[in-house]
This record gives sequence, structure tokens and C-alpha cells, in this order.
Amino acid sequence: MVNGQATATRESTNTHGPAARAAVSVSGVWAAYGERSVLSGLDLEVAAGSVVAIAGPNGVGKSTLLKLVAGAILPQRGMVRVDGRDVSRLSARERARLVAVVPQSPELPPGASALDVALMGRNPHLGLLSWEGEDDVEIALDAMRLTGAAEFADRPVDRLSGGERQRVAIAMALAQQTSILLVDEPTANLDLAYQPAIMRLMRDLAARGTTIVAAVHDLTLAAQFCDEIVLLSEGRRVAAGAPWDVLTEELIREVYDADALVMEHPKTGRPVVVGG
Amino acid sequence: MAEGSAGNISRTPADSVIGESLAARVIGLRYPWWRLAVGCAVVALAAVVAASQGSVYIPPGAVVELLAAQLPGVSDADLPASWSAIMFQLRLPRVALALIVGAGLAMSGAAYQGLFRNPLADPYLVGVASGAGLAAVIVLLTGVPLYLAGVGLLPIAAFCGGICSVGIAYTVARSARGAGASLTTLILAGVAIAALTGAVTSLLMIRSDPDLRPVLSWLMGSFIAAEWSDSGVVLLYLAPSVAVLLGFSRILNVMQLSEDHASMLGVEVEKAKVILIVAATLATAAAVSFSGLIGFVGLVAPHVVRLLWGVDYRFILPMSALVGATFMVLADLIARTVVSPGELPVGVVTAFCGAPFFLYILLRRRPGAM
Repeated sequence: MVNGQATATRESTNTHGPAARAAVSVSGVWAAYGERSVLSGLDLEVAAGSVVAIAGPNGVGKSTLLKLVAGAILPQRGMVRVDGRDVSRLSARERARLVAVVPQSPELPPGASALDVALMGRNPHLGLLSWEGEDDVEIALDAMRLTGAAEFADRPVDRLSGGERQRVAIAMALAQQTSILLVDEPTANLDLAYQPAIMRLMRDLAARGTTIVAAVHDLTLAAQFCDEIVLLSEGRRVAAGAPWDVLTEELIREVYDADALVMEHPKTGRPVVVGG
Repeated sequence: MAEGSAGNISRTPADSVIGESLAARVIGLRYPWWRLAVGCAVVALAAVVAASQGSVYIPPGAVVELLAAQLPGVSDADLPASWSAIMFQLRLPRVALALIVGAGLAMSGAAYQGLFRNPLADPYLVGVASGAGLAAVIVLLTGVPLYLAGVGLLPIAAFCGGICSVGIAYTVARSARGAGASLTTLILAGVAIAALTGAVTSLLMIRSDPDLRPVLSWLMGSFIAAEWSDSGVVLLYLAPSVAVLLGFSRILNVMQLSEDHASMLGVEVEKAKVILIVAATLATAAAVSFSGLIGFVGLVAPHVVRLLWGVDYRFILPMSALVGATFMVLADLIARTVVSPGELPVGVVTAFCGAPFFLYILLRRRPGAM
């Protein structure tokens, strides 16, 4: 099965149908922190240009999965491919030009301006001795406009609210200009107005060909904006598919060990999960 | 990426402020070259003032004339011959060494603070000082000849001692389990080695000849025996280290994010850490080898720069060097003039001036700037 997938990926990079190509392919991946096993034989395929939510209870390995795809950690067993290339064989720089990551609570250096931080996203495109040029500033400012961070471009990040910092962190990832964007709890620090705004931004980016993989805590939010939800439990994938297929009351009870009601959103027609 | 809208959040009022030509303006404004130029001028001024002071006063104008006369095509100034001798054989070698050592300590302090993301880091953090101190004490107290074939052994021993002790700390940190925490492990290993070498140093001092003044003088630092060749040797190690640190200064900015985050932005974090530690350690070991353990410069200078002028390491590193050089030259000036004809160890002066100034800076710092 692993071989089959690998071949399929290699062939499909030559075809131009964006939906057919797997942007991210995780096969048989095991990962552990010390003695504690986090992922045990996980498989995952993400089609290019789609928005995929990784969901599951706390500690199930959502962040670990994102780090594996970004190549920040290597799997004990199994293979992670990004754009058809084995992540473990890429240099940090090559990886950072393929995959950008927005960590869950990024530590932004105090005193640096929002623009300074967004410009750090240009690092993978700069040589050791080269400094950011006008093009890089343009790209960073564009990214900041997209996330609504441009209005405080010159403010120090330590004087921004949690939500504003989050928008700066996303702008930094966008400034990397990668085809794949991984986001760990993108709406964790955002208030109600900005949660859908950020998710809508993810949709817009996907419409322009960026593949989005987001670890999402909030099942309802995931259901409104994602093409696919991947539900993890005990280090494995228990379900993957369209929101209505994955978010069933039985499956939620099985995975979360909690009763929940799944209803239809009156406007989007997508599932809404309410704790019971 | 370039255009397009992201629903209701892309059009902000600031779009009129962040206009089309802004990128060009931002680039022009980002790097304050003029501050470095002013810094260089201040260093030169401090050096001239320091060279003019001493048991024989030589007016600053004469110092400049004497220096200018060294240039080809400038006729010799009509000044007393003794002034020239005092200048080129006594004062300038000393001023030059103080400049170089101050710049080296300050720049490696800045690099360590950036690398460890810790404002308490100074160039002696991972054990250079204790190793160099032990080696120097061994040479001074155990009957090892001070000179071998005309070459001073003390600086060589101090240099090697410093490098060895960091090497041991680094090897321990490398082989410790859980490599993810290796920077913390490195600091802890450095602390342990410093305690051990410090104990051996104390033991040697207690069990030796009662005259400990040369030892104490070395441990507090002094430029009293400075010669031109000392500056040359220190520069030999300092120049490549400075080049490497400046080359990595933009990477050092990115490394202010967490290690994971920096690595996901394309930084080879482990490689960068090793390169920065080696460069900063070489610079520090070279700086202390001739002058002894001068404290506070490597801690204070980067702080002054960071607190007054921001967080970009491309500016912090060179500006710290300039501030450190100025501070060291002036401290040495005080050390050799204030109890004339005697001398204070320069480390006493740097601590006397540096510590209160540091406290003042802490009181008026910008919130969050550390």
C-alpha cells in the first residue's frame, strides 16, 4: 500500500489537475516523545488546494502530526511526503520553501515590530548574507494586509493583543509563499469576530491553490470551513471525509467519550456540534 | 499572494498609510547606519582622550598630529620626541588592546544573549572565564615558566583553558539525553564546570605563596603590560569570529523565535548554534588571554544598545562592539589615572561604573524590551 501510494504521488505530480495531486502524504507514521507513543501507524492524504482539519481529543497528536509534516521532527517509522518529496531528505531551507507553519502560541521576540516579524517569513528565500529587499517588504506587507495585520505593522509585537499577534504569525507564514500552510489552532487566541474571518482567509488561500492543514479544536468551526475533517484517536485515524460523514454522534461519543448533539447550521447547512 | 481580497478583513484603514512606495521607504529607514558612524566617531574620540591622559599630559591635538604623522605623505610634527615614545610605546598599545578586548567581549556577550535568548547571558556564561582563570592561576602559581623562548605562556594557557572548559561543557551537553534542551543543558554544564574549576583555583591560591597580587590582578583584569603584538594576536582570532557573528546576525534575529519555529523558517538550528558558540567562545578566549577576566562589559554593552536602540541583531552586534570598546578604553583610563602612580585592576572599574549604570538602565527600560 505504501508503494502504491508513492507511485500514485509521483505520477500525479505530472498531471495538472490540482484536486488529483496529493500535496501531503503521510504513510504508516509512528512518533513518540520518549516512552510515550503519540502516533501509531497514521495514514493521511491531503489533496492540493483543499482545507483539511485535523481534529481529536487533547494530546492525540495533532500538533505532532503538523510538526512531522513540516519536517521539524522525524518519524520513528513511516514516511512523510510533501509535494511528492520525502521530507526527511530536504534541507531546512527547502522545507521552509514548501511548507509554512503557524505554531499554536508562537513566541514572538519582544520589541520587534509586527513588520520585522512578518519579514522573518522571507528567511527561506534569503541567502546567509543577504538582507530583505524591497520585494521582500512588499510581500510581507501584502501578507499583513491579507491577515488584517497591516494596520499595526510598526507596533512592537509585545504590545499587541493575542489575536493581533496571531494575525502577525499567520502573515509571517504567508510571507514564506509556500504551497502548503500548516496551522495549529488558528483561532485559539481570536475573539468571535475574527475566528470566522481567519477561517475565511484560509478558504481564500485554498481557492488560490494553497493547501491548508489545520489542527482545530472546535469541531463546529472546522465543519463550517473545511473540505475534509480527519478525526484522530489514540494515535490513529478513525475517520476522514466530508464534515457530515465524520461528525456523527456515535463517532464523537466513541472518540471523545462524551455525548454530543449534531445539528444542521441554519445558514451553511453544515453540521454544528453541541456538547450534551 | 500579491492581490485579492480575503473577505472583510483585507481592507483596513491602514492601507492608505501603508502606501505603495512604503516598501522603499521602510528599507531606507530600517538600518540606522548613521548611528554606527556616530559610534565610530565616539570610539575615536575616547581613544584620543585616553591617549592624552597620564603622568605626562599630551594635548589631544598633539595625539592626532602624532597619529597623522604616521601616514605617508604627512610631514613629522614638531613635537617633543619623548611624546612620540610615550604615545607609541606605552599608551597607544594599551588603548588599542583595550579597544579590541572591549569590542570582542561586548560582541560575544551580545551573541550569547541572542543565542540563549537570555538577557543574563554574558561572554563567560558557558565557562570560558573559569577555564581561562584556572589555567592562568596554574601558570602563575605552580612554577611553570612565564616565558618559553621569549613567548609569554600566560595568554596561551588562558586561551587554551577557556576553550577546553567550553569544549567539556559542550561535549557534556551534546551527549546528554534529550538533545532538545541542549542550550539549557549547556548552561548547566557550564555552571558545574565553573564551580569545579573555581574550587581548584581557590585551592591553588590557598596552598601557594602568600603573594597573590599577580593572580588577583589577572583575575580582575589589567592592560598594564599591553604591547602592540598582543593586539595583533587577539585580532587574529577576533577578526574571523566577528565576521562569522556579523554574517549570522540576521539568522540570530530569526532564532529569537522558538527553536522549532526558527527551524520551520529554514534555519539549520543545530548548525547555527554550534557556529555561533564556537565564534563567540574564540572571541572571548582571545580577549581574556592577554587582559584577564574583565567583567560587566560583555553584559552591559549589549543591554545598553538593546534598550536604547531596539532588537535587530544586525545592529546590536556591531553597535555593542563600539559601545564595549568605548567603555573599556574609558574604564582603563580611570584604572590607570585615579590612584596614580598606582593602578586599579580594570575589572574593578568596569564593575564600579557598570553595575550602577546597569541598575539605572533596568529602572528606565521600556516595558517588554527584555
